[in-house]
Amino acid sequence: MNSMNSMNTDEYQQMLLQITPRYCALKLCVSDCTVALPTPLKHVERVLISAATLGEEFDRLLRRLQVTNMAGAVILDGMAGAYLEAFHNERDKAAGGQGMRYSPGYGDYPLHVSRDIIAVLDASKRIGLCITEHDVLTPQKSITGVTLI
Amino acid sequence: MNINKAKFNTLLQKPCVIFDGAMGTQLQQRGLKPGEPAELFNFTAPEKVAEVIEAYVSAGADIVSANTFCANRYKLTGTGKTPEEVIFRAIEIAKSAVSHSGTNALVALDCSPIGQLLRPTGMLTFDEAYDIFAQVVRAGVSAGADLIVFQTFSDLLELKAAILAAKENSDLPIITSMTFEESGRTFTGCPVSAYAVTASGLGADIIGVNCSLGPHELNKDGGIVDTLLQFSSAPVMVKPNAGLPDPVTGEFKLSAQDFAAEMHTIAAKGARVLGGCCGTAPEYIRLLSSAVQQATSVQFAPKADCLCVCSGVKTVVVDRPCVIGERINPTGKRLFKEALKNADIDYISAQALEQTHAGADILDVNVGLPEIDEKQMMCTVIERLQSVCELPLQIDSGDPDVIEAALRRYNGKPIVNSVNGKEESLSTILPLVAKYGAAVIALTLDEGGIPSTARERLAIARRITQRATEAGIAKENIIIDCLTMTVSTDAKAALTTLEAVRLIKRDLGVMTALGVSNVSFGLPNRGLLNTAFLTQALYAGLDLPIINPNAHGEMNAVRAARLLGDFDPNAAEYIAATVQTDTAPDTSSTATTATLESAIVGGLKKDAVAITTQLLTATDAMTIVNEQLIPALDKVGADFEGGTLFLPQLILAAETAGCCFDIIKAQLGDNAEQSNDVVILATVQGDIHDIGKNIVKVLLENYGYRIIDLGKDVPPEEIADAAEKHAVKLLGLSALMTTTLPAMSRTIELIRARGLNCSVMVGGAVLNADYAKTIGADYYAKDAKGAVDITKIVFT
Repeated sequence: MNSMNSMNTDEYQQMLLQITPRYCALKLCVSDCTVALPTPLKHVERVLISAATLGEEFDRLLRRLQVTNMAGAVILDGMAGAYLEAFHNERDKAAGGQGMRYSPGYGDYPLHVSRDIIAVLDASKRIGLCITEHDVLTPQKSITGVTLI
Repeated sequence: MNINKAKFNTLLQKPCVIFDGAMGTQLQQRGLKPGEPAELFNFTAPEKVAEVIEAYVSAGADIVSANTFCANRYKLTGTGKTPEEVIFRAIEIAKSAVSHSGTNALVALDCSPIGQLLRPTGMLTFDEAYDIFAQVVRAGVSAGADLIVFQTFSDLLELKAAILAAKENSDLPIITSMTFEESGRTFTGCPVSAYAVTASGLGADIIGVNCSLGPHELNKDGGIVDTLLQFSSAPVMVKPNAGLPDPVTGEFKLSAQDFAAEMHTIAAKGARVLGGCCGTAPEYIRLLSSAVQQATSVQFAPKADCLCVCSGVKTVVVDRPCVIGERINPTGKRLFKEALKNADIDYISAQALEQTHAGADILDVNVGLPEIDEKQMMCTVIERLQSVCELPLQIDSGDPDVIEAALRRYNGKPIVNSVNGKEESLSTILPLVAKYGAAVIALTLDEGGIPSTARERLAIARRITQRATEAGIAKENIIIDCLTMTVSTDAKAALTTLEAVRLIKRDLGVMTALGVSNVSFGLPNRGLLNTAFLTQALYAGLDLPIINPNAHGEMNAVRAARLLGDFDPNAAEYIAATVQTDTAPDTSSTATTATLESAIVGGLKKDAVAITTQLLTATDAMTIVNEQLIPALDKVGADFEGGTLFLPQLILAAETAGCCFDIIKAQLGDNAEQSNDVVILATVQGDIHDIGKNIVKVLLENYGYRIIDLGKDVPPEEIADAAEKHAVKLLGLSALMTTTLPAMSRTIELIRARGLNCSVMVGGAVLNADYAKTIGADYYAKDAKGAVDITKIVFT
């Protein structure tokens, strides 16, 4: 079972590390905030609105790998999600975010709030993050969210 | 020449033309809130907009933007305003502000990107993008704009749609401007050179850069401004931010004085249109204006004339022999023809990536087959190839309609293969090449056929070059192919071609291309002859050999020629190619693997193939399949369900089994029918995540089923049509988002309404068994393996 057990994830890690994720954020007083807040943050004073993406480069890489190495694409896809989350957490923390980040689409936080987050951050210009009419974030590996600050 | 072009050209006689600074940040200082559309100020606070514009005019701006940056129908959704209303009002305000100031400043229709990503990363199609821009342009023309400026673009293909929309719906001068990160690429990976080359070819009047960075970051040695100047054949514009924003406060910190000082240097390098973007204010423009008037006025120097072609992510400068890969062509390739008939685009993508890995610089793309719709296939293939492969492409077709459709949607600057000396060809192909700014391969044949002497081929080449130049095609974009005939029927064939290449280089000085493999047709040991001929041709002046990059002899001849011609510093590429190790995962075992089962379970492709071949000498094919391959797959499936084996390993095992099936099919030869067990797969309308569906496809194919993959964001009608046309027994639908589940439901309704006799299985992270039942699906696949199990049930 050599090949199976030694599926070399270093290669995929290297691919991911070539990609620099992008991040943008805004600190707002809740009174100035036009973005609907998640239930746990409804009564706080200040929030950090942020977004991060691995960009089109990752989409392209994943498409290419699906042609040449589907098993590898599955591994890369999983790793990429974890990579982006870790990156986003680090940047939110550095910006002063405390505790959990709440992303639209999880729990009772409606998906369409991502649209407002992207508008307020001007994310399409700042980091190339857009959203389709069905509230799908593009590029694929992207996160938007709100954190207590 | 129309009035607007005349006014614009008069303005360009100034050594430096001053553009304005930021509008958005200026309006924010006057009360615009973050996230609030600036364009609405045209209605709620027109005096503030006029104030900003007048301030820029007084500061010395020769061109001012109307407050129309986001006035496209997508961005205006929910504002209650149409693009026409906003643009009309904004231009009215701007023109009135200019006339109030008593100057001749020009008013530009300012146009941003749409705000949606293009396919395949997003959902916007090229035609939709074009339509959105065309509406904006027409409104700008009616409102009396003096010119159009497209600013802050990140996607080269989107910019192309914008430029074409402007060219086809107005006579106005066009300024284009993209925005780059410090890496020198846009968010979509477009390098400055590809942008400059493409925009030059499409006929932009000014080619610029704006936003994201400050003047210092743009002006590094060999950086963005330098590259733009090097690759643009139109005057260059530079419109930086007021430095980089403070990471904590978001404020722009560069002072107006420092800004102007840096812009002085940029003007001295030859940038002709200068302005500011985010964070700049009228004061910046005032200081900029006086600083650059003192710059030594540099006459616009045309860049070095060298053939450059590009994709949306890579530029190839043909200043040394460059290889055009010829493998994407159905002629003489049974598997390729099958792939085209089955719309198996992955097969073609794999071919492209293989040639890229082998060292091709450019790829020829030919999908001409009588049984298919060539135009549709060419557009699909070009889009898909450009989404996975970085190389520039060569559009190869005998049909001008196909060429035009491909040229229009191609991201970057391609080569057209080909035009020839016949009048019909010259008059239909050359205008297309000129319009879309491509390069073109010209064959030295005409109504009289292929001339037998080199001099006659030179004469045709001269005639084509003349016509191309008259059509507005720059000399460096003309590539002559003097045709290679076989020495087996004409002993002088090679000599004639080589002589023709020499004459064309000497007398015309244009680029040359050649397909070499024809030379050996009808003779044994073709590789040897091809390589020898190629070597001679390279020394005669061949620039673009069209070869199979996987053919070692020919590829090595190119590498050797590069090294010997001093095109490979330190022999780095030559050495790297010689010691290149295979980077594919090592799928050979170190210990002997006894059984086929253990090879499959272990994902050991080479071993599995060897064992299968061995077994076939003694055992019947179907016995191997039923008693070894399928039980092995079943074991892997059981381990996956038991949680001792995971998805990547399942895929690898299935692919390994697939390799064995291929060997068996090859052995069965003509008796092997294409599987009748056909499954259609699609990701539903509005959904663009397809890796789950792709995993199911790979598994099912390797388990022996034939898949028709309709792709992603597929409308219900298209799925129903395909199900009807192919009379399939099973349809698989996937969706990732709750917002796209309704499309899944509509698709199933349509299938039932049409009375189609097919089962439907559904899958996707957001689904569950209950919902699947609610929408009328026959089966719910909880994971990829589940889909395989369902398929087995349906087909027994």
